[in-house]
This record gives sequence, C-alpha cells and structure tokens, in this order.
Amino acid sequence: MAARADRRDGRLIVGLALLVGILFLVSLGVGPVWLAPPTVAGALVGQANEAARIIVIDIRLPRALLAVMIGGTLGLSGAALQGLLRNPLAAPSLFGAPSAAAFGAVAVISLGLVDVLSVALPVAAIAGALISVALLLLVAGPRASLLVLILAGLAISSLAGAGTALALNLAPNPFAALEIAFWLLGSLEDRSMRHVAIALPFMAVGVVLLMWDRRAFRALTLGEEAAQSLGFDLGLIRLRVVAGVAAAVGAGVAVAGSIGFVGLVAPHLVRPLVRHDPGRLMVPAALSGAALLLAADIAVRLIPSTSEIKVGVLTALIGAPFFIALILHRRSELAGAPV
Amino acid sequence: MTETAQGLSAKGISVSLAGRMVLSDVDLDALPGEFIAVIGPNGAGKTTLLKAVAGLLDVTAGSVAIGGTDAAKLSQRERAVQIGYLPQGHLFYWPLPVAEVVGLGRLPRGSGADLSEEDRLAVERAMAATGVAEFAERPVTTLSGGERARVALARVLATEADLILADEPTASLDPRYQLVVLDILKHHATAAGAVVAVLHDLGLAARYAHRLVLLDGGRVAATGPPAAVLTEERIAATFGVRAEVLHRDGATVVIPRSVIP
Repeated sequence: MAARADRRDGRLIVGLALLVGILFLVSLGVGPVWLAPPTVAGALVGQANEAARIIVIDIRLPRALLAVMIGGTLGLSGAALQGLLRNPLAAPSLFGAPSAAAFGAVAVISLGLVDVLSVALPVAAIAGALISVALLLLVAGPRASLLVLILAGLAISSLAGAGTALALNLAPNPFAALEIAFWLLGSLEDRSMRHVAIALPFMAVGVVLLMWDRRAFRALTLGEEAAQSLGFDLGLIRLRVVAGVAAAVGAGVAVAGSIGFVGLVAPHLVRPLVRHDPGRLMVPAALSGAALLLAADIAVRLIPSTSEIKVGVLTALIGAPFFIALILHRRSELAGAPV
Repeated sequence: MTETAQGLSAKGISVSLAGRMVLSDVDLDALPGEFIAVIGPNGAGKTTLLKAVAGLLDVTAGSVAIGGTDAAKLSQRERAVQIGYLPQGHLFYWPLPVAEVVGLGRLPRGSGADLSEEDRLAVERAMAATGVAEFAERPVTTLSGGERARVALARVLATEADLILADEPTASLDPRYQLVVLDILKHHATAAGAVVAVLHDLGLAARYAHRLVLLDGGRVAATGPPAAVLTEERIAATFGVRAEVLHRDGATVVIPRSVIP
C-alpha cells in the first residue's frame, strides 16, 4: 500500500512540475517581443545575443520566478487552511488576509515611511496579514463554523479595505493615489530580481511553517478532538498555519499586490488526484498554484488590450465564478452546516 | 503491554468549564481485561470525564495514571499511543478511502501517509476485526451510519493502544450494529487492554460491562457490578424514570416505564 501511494504521488508531482517548467519557459518567451524556446534556453545559459539576454534574464525571469513563488505559496496556503479548517471553501482571500496585507503595505507607503523596494514593505504586509488571520481566529473562536469564519473574514476584509481607501483618500497627490491603486490590482509586470530577493526569505519561512503540519491535517479528517487524541497540539498547529499564511501571503502582496483566488482554486483542482488526502495534497497544491499563476500571467500578455490587464484582475475574474460554482455544487451541504 | 499492567486509574477528577463545575471528585478505574460502562443522564458529565481522562481538556483537580505512570508526565504523543479515543458522532470531513482513514490510527506510531509493514498489518487486523475490509477502497463519506461507526472503531483499534475510551459508540446504530460494536470492544478488553465506554442503553451497559460507573450532576452516584448499580430506586433518583429492573439468566434488564413528574 505504501509503495503504491508513493509512486502515484511521485508521478503526479513530476507531472505537475513538468507543467510548471513548460509554463515557466513559455512565460520567458511571451511578450511584446516573442522569443522562440531555443532562444529562451540560449539566453538562460548565456548563449544568446545581448537583447534576448536582457529580455529573458532582466525583464521576464523575475516575473516568472515571482509567479512560481507567489502562485506556489498561495496554493500551499489554501491547502493548509483547508486542511486546518477541514473545509474545501477555505482560502486566504476569503478571510481577509490579502486585504489586510495590502493595507499594511499601503499604510507604510502612503505615510512615506518606505519606498516600494524596501524590506520594510513585506514586513508591514506580513504584519497586516498576521493581525488579520489572528484576529479572525480570535473573533471566530476555535470551533467556529465556516459561516462564522467567512463573516468574520468579510468584516476584517472590509475594515482593511476601508483603511486602504482612507490612505488613498489622504494621498498627497493624485499620482501617488493612482500608483497605489494600480499596485493594489496585483501585477507581476516590471518586477526585478530585487523583488524576488525581498519576498524569498519570508516565503521560505512560510513554506516551512505550512508544510510542518501535513500529518496533522490528515488527522483532522477525524475532527479536532480525535486529532488531539492522536497526539497533535492543535493550539500550536493553528499558530503555525496562521504565521505561515501570513508570511506567504504578506510577502506575495508586498511584491505583487493582491492576487486572489489562486489559493482557493489550486488545491481544488488536484484534490481528487490525491484521493482527497489533505496531507498528500500540499505539494501538488503548491505546484498547481504555481502553474495557475504562470498561466494567468501568460494570458494577460496574450489578451489584446490597450493597457495590459493586471494578473490580479484576471485571477479574480476567473476565480470568483469558480467560487460561485463551488458554492452551488456544495449548496445542500452548506445549508445543513452548523452555524 | 506489560508496562500498562495496572490499566487506568483516575483519582479525584474535577473539571470546571466556563466557571461551572462539570465534574467533582470523580474516580475512574479500569483494570486490564475490564469493560467499564459510564452511564448517567444527559449532562451528567460522562463525555467530560472521558475527555479529561484522554487529556483533551484541563482538569482543575485530580490525577490520571495510565499503566502506573502519571499521565501529566507523558507527552501528547506518548499518551496517544496508550489511549485510543473514539469521539461521538463518527464524523469524517474528507472523503478518504476507508483503508486510509483506518491508517490514521497509526499516526501516533510515527507514520505519515506511507505505512510501514507493521502499520499495514495493524490496519489489516483492525479492518478484519470490524468487518470493514470489504469496503477498504470506498470513500468513507459514502458509507452508512453503521459502516462509519465500524470504520471509526477500526481507526481506534489500529493504534493498538491498550486503553480504549469510547464516547457513545452505539449511538444511532441499529440493534445489530450496537451488538457488533460492543462485541468488538468487549473482545479488545478481554484480549488486550481495558475499555471505558459511555453508554445510554442501560440494558446493554449491564450486559457488556464488568462494572458500571453511574454519574449524576458531575459526581459518581454509584459504582460496581451492574446488578448492584442498577436498582429501581437509583434509576428513579438519577434518571427521573420509573423503571422495572429484571434479573434473568444472570442478565440485568431495565424497562423504563414512565417519567417521574
């Protein structure tokens, strides 16, 4: 049984990693200047002309790397939250984490404390996300139903949104306001290796924290009491997941604005492939998230429009109807859910 | 199994929840080989007692010893290896295949998604004992109530803990499955360890348990062999029910007749 499960997950992970790899190379080739795969590969190993090298290495590589990092950690955050709360509708964006992270970042930008390339930005964004998720768990309590969590998340999201609106409102000049507004939409355009370097350490911490409790997520299939009786400390697990989601989402928002729904959709797509096992779901969910965001970021460059559509707008345009479909599908179950 | 030769010994357990004393000074013992049934009216503190013994909530006073070791000195993992806890309701949140659910019982033994040979054998034994092997590959959420109850029990058995604490293992089961589940628990008690089960059916409690612990208002109202605990006066005093208690062929039968106003 063990070896069989191993091989099956191994194939799935290799398959998804290949998909991510292909999308990554496509992402390096697509844009105002189209580059063929051999040119892209050549540029990566320093075998192409100067122009191709600049386009691939300096312009598109950071963008593709961020898509993998942000999509991957969003998928992982979604899978971890869904495992912790034992509900497939849980996701970072539903609970206000990205809005709160955005507010944290906007607050320090608009106060003129930092510029957009400072390490203080992710710290502020992570603090915002951390406060929001902690507040959520505090307001909702340990045994909260999904309804209570979503209502509390809505309230926190609204509060963070109001804070961000206030910052826009009080912006020193219209250009500053416009800059913040565009940044909020969520985009991977014109990012540099500096952004990658800023986000990477925080995301690494987030990934470690989120991967920590894989076995506990499996045990939680049986409910909180049974999981506890199997030797898992739920208080610590909740803390780790909160901190992990905050670090991952906060770092992502800090470098790319808010990109929603990847955390909801990514685990959902691969869950049947691991037979609904919340522990085995983690790595495939991360790869699925990376693939989704890479694909979305390629799509925004292919969709003809006067100015490039922000990737956060596209993920919301696709993700929100997906969420509605998911609710429709589980309507009867949700109607019977304890309030 | 030798280190747990002394079974379970809980002394003077008191628990207060939200400022209210739910249990006061309750003793609970289960020697190896014993099946203990905890009975009592709704709200008597039966579930709280089981959770306190399992270490799922903090006690305000009292001590729990498992196999002669103070449970407070055990890590959560060590405790999980020694106590199998079956919560009420037999809930499953994800549609995992039955065999995977039963395999979760091996988690305190250090197993992840991939089971060792030893784990696999324990899971097979647990599934065979509960008769769930035939639907090992089916998603657990598609099973009937009786099947889910047996899967939940198999998961607890798979841990191979000596002591099993079962909270209403027969609730919402038809008569056949009630007997099936209690037979499995009784077999575990006599073969390997000890069982403490919260039961609502007084007749079944009397038939299966070596000893009963009758809780009322958070205190032990009576404890001892079924025939000694289940008297008409005591049932009237604790449950508020006029009942007829018959003794036939060495078994105790309780027939609730009417509510005492």
